[in-house]
Amino acid sequence: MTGTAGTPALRDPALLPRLGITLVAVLLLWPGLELSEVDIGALFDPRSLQTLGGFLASFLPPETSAAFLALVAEATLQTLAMATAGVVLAAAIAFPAALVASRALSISRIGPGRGRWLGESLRLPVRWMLILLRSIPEIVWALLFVRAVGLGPAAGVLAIAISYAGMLGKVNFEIFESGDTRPARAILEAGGGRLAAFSYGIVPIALPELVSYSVYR
Amino acid sequence: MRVRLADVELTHPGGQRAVDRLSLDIGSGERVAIIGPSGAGKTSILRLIGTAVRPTAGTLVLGDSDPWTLSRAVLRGLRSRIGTIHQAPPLPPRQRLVTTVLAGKLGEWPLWKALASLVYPADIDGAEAALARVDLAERLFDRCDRLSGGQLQRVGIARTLYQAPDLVLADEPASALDPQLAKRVVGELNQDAQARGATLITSLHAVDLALAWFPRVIGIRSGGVAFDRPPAGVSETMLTDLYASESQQPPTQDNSPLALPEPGPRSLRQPLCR
Repeated sequence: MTGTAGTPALRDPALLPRLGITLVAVLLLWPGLELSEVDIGALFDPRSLQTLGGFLASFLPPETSAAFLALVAEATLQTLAMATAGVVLAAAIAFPAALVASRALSISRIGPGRGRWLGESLRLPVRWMLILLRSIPEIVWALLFVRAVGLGPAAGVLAIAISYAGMLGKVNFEIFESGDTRPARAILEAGGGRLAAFSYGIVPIALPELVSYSVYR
Repeated sequence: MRVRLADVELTHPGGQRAVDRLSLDIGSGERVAIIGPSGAGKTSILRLIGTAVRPTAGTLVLGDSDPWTLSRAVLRGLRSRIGTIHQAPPLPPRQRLVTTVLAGKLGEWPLWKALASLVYPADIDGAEAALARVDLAERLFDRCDRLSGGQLQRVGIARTLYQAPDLVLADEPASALDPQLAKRVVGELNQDAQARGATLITSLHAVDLALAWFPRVIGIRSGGVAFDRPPAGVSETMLTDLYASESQQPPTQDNSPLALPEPGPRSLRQPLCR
């Protein structure tokens, strides 16, 4: 603060970049809002409020006939089973993919030089594949699988498995990289293998997050 | 393991030069202390020797091979014979000490053994013995996040003792320890290296520890060698020059002025362990 005569006071060099990033973000987001025609006022229009109210009122009283409840119970069970099977399948695909995609275990970063772009050229396609799997919505996958395996829960399980594999895979490798990667690197530097470094250096750090994400899904 | 560096340079991507045309020859079984002001390049030198970073110029020879010309598998074998003690030990907080120490042998163990050891520790006795050497045996089944910084540093040392490598690289192994423990741990490292005929290269902040324990002391300033001689040949002027930029006096463990005894046949300037 006390800049003596001749020398200017110290300034935070990050000021301008930060201002710039904020401005760019606002400039990018504003047209997005405009383009998607978000109009909060329409929500509180008397006519739309009336339609909403009517819709909500029709939920009451709930249907309680035994046949209907049995149907509901069965459908619920089926949904649960589909979701569980789908996520387990998804995790089975996502986990190895995340291992490949994660930079945290890259031996080529410390190994002999030429392996580096080879590793990177394997890593990038896997990352893109995960992103592709994830960015196509479940419903599209479901329509695709209905063609292949017919109408039924199987198509749903596969659709969930595929799109969640993308999602979990991406989250997993990001979790691997977001934690402290020095323990894994230290093991690699002491001659440990990739899987050993993973299970001794990354799993103990990432496990709680991995479990909570997989269960959440 | 013999370590040779010839005109080795390390320039960081930012253009900052950490190691500048450094040449060293450290024989098999030698015990060397590296001292110098902070930022002089001590850690960079150890990382270069430990094959954690590749020199931007010059050659490094470990044993009788240049690690950067080796195939991946052979380099891995070489790395498993190098043990690095990091200044801030890179240990997962939720891991139990027994697992952390056993991880020292991951370079040697086949994968099935490494994985089986996560289910049931493969060598509990070995881990306990290694921890006992740094006074932590009773914490064998505790988790790392329940230890203090100084205790963690000792776990890192125990891991390397358990690894029993041919080349031990210790980066300020006593920086978080009180003078009593620092002596104990540096002594343990020296005795271990001596007993196994391993090469020990230690960077130290406390000059008194370096002079007391090591038969060879290398002063490093701005990435190059300022002096390289036995402790008896290190004079006060050399030390003052070495630390000229940092403070008035060379740093010691408890910040008391460094007392260099008069050179003499039975002087304390002989290393404690030879």
